[in-house]
Amino acid sequence: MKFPPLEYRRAEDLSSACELLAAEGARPLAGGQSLLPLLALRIARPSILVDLSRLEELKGVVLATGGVGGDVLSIGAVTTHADIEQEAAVAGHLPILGRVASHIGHLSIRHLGTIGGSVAHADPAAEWPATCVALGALAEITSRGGVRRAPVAELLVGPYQTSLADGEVISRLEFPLEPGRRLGMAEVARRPGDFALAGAVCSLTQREGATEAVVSFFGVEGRPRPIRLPALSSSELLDEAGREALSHEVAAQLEDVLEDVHASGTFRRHLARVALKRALGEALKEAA
Amino acid sequence: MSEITFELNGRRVAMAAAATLSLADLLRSKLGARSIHLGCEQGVCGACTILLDGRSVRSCLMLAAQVDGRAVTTAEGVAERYAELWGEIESTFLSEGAFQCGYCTSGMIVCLSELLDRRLRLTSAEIAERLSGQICRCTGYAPLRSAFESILEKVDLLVREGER
Ligand SMILES: Cc1cc2nc3c(=O)[nH]c(=O)nc-3n(C[C@H](O)[C@H](O)[C@H](O)COP(=O)(O)OP(=O)(O)OC[C@H]3O[C@@H](n4cnc5c(N)ncnc54)[C@H](O)[C@@H]3O)c2cc1C
Ligand code: FES
Ligand code: FES
Repeated sequence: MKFPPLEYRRAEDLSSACELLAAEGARPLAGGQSLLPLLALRIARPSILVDLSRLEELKGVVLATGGVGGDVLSIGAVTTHADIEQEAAVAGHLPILGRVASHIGHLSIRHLGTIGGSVAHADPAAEWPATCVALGALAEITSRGGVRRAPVAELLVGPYQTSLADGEVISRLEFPLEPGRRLGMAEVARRPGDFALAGAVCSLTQREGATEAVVSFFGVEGRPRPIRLPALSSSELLDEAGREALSHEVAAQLEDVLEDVHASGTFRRHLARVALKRALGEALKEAA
Repeated sequence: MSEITFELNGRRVAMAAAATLSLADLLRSKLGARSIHLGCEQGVCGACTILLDGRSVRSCLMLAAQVDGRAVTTAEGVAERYAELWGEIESTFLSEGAFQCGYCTSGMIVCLSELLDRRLRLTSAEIAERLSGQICRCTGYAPLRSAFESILEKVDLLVREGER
């Protein structure tokens, strides 16, 4: 398998990347861990690849405090999965992101693959898009025309499809930090490093004596979407029978569950329930 | 064509590379690094694994042009770097039966080198997880795991049961 004819351009900074991407047929290359296989298989046919992988300004994690939307953990789009796993700011503020990163592929894939590339690629089985959705993350999107922000949940429109326009680059992903929020994720895969057959991410917030939950799945529907469970009583959450019933209720809402050689729709719906119960269990272990 | 300059196993290389060339093809076909094996060319099998600035990556999932300014180590480079330990590594792979056809072996050696270079202390289970990123169709993995354990034990990098 060889790559089709194309032109390679390395961007030196974000603004020159945006200039290069304004050309017809240009497409960003980040870690290449999804795009290069697609090129080899002739599924993608860009004429110019604009390499973002050296853009230091889009790497690393910073804590941004005092903004209008509250405090956020802002991750540069070109930060690799492996670096997110090792980041002290992640361990300190949103340790769940380190755990999520560690589930992606093998170490050699995580050394190159990036969070921005994963969101833009919008694989329904990928961990990052679902995590961004459950945590309410915003994408900062830069193009020659300027900068805009959009909830990742709105960016993801279908399997491998986003609402990014040509020439737009995801420059950062911003995860809101909400005190007292409890987070959990779990996935079922046949072997470590494989794409998950099904996975769930959940976020629990205490509101007026009840618990509000936002849940999203990966490997289950064609795209992760926020499933809101507005007012859960403590019995629904705290005992095993309650969580079992809740998981059935949520699984019944799933639509067009993915079906392929790896798992039937019925099996995936079952695994989605298993993952949800485990994710809730993990979140409940965190101190409120 | 892109002009690239990089380090291959400690030696400087300067050349022109076509934009469509993968790093794996550059290393094997243009620069003679025969340890680069191509199994899947999709990042799955690990036969083409190299170290890029000391971190393991799949050379089939990089463009040759992307290596400009960076340092690459292949299994040939690992053999040079660990010249003193090399006899031990070879004889352990042999005695444990850690290879048959040898297609996966150079990827395994690069994977082992990453552990040795960083002096990571691992348990047997952690070794197994690392190996899950490298496909071997012959050995059934258990011999590879014992070979890794035995080599890491010799350099005091194996965490024994109950130690952690
Ligand atoms: C063997 C193997 C196993 C894997 N296992 C998993 C897994 O278990 N879970 C998982 O989630 N992923 C997995 N992946 C995919 C991996 O996580 C990729 O890193 C990720 O999907 C894409 O990130 P990238 O940086 O490599 O992007 P690229 O491959 O460079 O790009 C992907 C797409 O996004 C676009 N793009 C990239 N960056 C940006 C940006 N900043 N703004 C706008 N568009 C952009 C590109 O144009 C392209 O269309 C696996 C990959 C391999 C090869
Ligand atoms: S050939 Fe590169 S991972 Fe299989
Ligand atoms: S020895 Fe044949 S593939 Fe591993």
